[in-house]
Amino acid sequence: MPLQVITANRLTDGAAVYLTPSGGWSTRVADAHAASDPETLGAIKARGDAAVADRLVVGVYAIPLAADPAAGPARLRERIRATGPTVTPPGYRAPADAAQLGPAAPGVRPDATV
Amino acid sequence: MQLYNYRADDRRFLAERVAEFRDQVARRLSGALSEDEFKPLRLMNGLYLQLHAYMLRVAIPYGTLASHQLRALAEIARRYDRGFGHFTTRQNIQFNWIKLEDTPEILALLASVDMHALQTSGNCIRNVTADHFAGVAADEIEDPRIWCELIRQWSTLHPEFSFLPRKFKIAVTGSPEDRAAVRVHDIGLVMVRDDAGAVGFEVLVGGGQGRTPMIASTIRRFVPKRDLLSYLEAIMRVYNLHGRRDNLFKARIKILVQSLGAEAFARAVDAEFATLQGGLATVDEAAVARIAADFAPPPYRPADPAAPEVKSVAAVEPAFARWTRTNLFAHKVAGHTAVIVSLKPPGGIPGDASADQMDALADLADRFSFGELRVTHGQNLVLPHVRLGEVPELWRALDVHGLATANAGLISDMIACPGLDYCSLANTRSIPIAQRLSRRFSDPDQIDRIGPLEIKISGCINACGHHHVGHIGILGVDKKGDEFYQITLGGRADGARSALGKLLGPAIPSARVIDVVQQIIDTYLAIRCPGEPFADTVARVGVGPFKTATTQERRDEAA
Repeated sequence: MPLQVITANRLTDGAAVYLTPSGGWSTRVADAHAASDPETLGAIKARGDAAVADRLVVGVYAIPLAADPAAGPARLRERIRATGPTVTPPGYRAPADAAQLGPAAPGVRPDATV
Repeated sequence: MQLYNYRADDRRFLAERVAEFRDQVARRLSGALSEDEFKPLRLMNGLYLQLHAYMLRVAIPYGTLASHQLRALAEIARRYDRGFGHFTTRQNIQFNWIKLEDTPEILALLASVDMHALQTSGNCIRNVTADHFAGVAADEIEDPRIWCELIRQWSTLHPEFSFLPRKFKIAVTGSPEDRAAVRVHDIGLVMVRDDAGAVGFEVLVGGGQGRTPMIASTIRRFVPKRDLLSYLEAIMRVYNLHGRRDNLFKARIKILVQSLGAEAFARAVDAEFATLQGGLATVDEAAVARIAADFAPPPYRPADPAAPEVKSVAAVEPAFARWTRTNLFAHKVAGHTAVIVSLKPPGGIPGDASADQMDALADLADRFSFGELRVTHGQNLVLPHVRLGEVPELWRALDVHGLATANAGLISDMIACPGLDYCSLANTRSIPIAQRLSRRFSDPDQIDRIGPLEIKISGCINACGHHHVGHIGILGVDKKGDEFYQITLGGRADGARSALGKLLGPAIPSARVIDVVQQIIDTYLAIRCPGEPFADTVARVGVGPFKTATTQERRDEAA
């Protein structure tokens, strides 16, 4: 069974966040509590669900990591969700704490060239 | 300016809605409302939760926008989002990184310029769309926006139609030339004249895209103006009663029309209409006259004999000449033109505009177009009332802001949904495909030679990118985690010729899409009759020759 992490969207701004070992939420997958045994996963999922009741996050679910966990989530959808759009809109202005956008976003295969 | 002029009642209504949502957000943040309770409330105010953040979809009813409204949208982009907005295929604009707690303030800002995010989500009657050249087109019978506004007022929070089986989209055109894709809407209305010369509506029902694309059927050739809302109400009642609620994928009206048959559906509507005709929803002529007064033509001025002629400037400025060939649209008033502002620069994101570009366009609308703009379902903007003598000056000003791309209606003027870069429903990305295509097809001579061609790209089967009606349609599909794309040919959404695209072959990997489109174009250039546009060539020869050309390449690769 691959390593999995618990993800959700932060209630206040909808940002994709990941449950950390200390029970907090981080916008970085690398900070997440990764587990593969069902018992631990069940426990951290329950912790995530409790955060919904505490009005911290919404939409808690588990996602598998890639075979090399340093590559981030296994699925493209979750990699893009973790790192932001792979394209840079006109006039785009990233807030100080957000990753720069573009095809070079980590964990997402660069788009083929023309 | 041609714009519905909000009255005190309209403003009070919006203010009450904002106050209500402010309270709902506060209750959500305090825990008084759960997410399950809050979600339908935020959706009724256009607030979605997407991949990266909340997304706010703001309605631009029938695509008409005033310069001061566009400035407000720029301010939202700058103050509350990340510096840009995305114009959609339904004449809306989306902001992608909205904070929940900011949303009431944003709605208040919108309300201050008579805008809102109502009818942009949920199973209600959505933002009513129209021909983006409404009020301008020479071939128009009447300005359809007067009727769009009436439908907007009738349908907004209509208690009977706020919880339909599924979302419901209406498009209206006042011209026989369909620029509003009316045949792929739940209801399409086409303004027509009857034998006596009276103006009314041909009513089409059951069109749509998504996973079950269908072309709408005409269920009544002529509905008089006074009966428009009663007849619409009859359709909505039949749908509300008989539309499926047990299966999300079979809940749109097109499925009901298909299962009953258009004739039986029409009979059911007629029976309902018989009980409604002449009743409460009968159109109030005075109300229509008040709305019509708001859409009175602006004070056009006669041509300035001292102004430079478009032709003479074009003779010495090839780039300007090219742009005037593609991006101008004949205006019904002599000495004027509508100008299409392309939001599709090479390598750009279809429909995106920066806050600075929005401000610049608002200024240009004030200078050149009576402060009015239009949003097209093709994800471009329009300055609808420009004096011909001022076109060269406008072109230079647009160019300064990267807004003078000469490609309206050409291959690089693509529609693309946000796709997996933003959307939580998408399977694949759409925008990078559009960017690569627009770079491949960026040589002005080359795209001129290819001629009119519409590529439409959707990142999933929901078809927000209208791929079913693209001359070349591109649909993203997930194949075991990899992005693949199905290509269809011959789709179109231009009135009676509307058709759904036919599949070219099996889905191809992302890396091959651009080359396959090139192959399709090369084949077209080789077999077209003189002057024959791409869509007509496909209609004439079918997909066969294109299939052969692209399959041959696959065989060569495999060999």
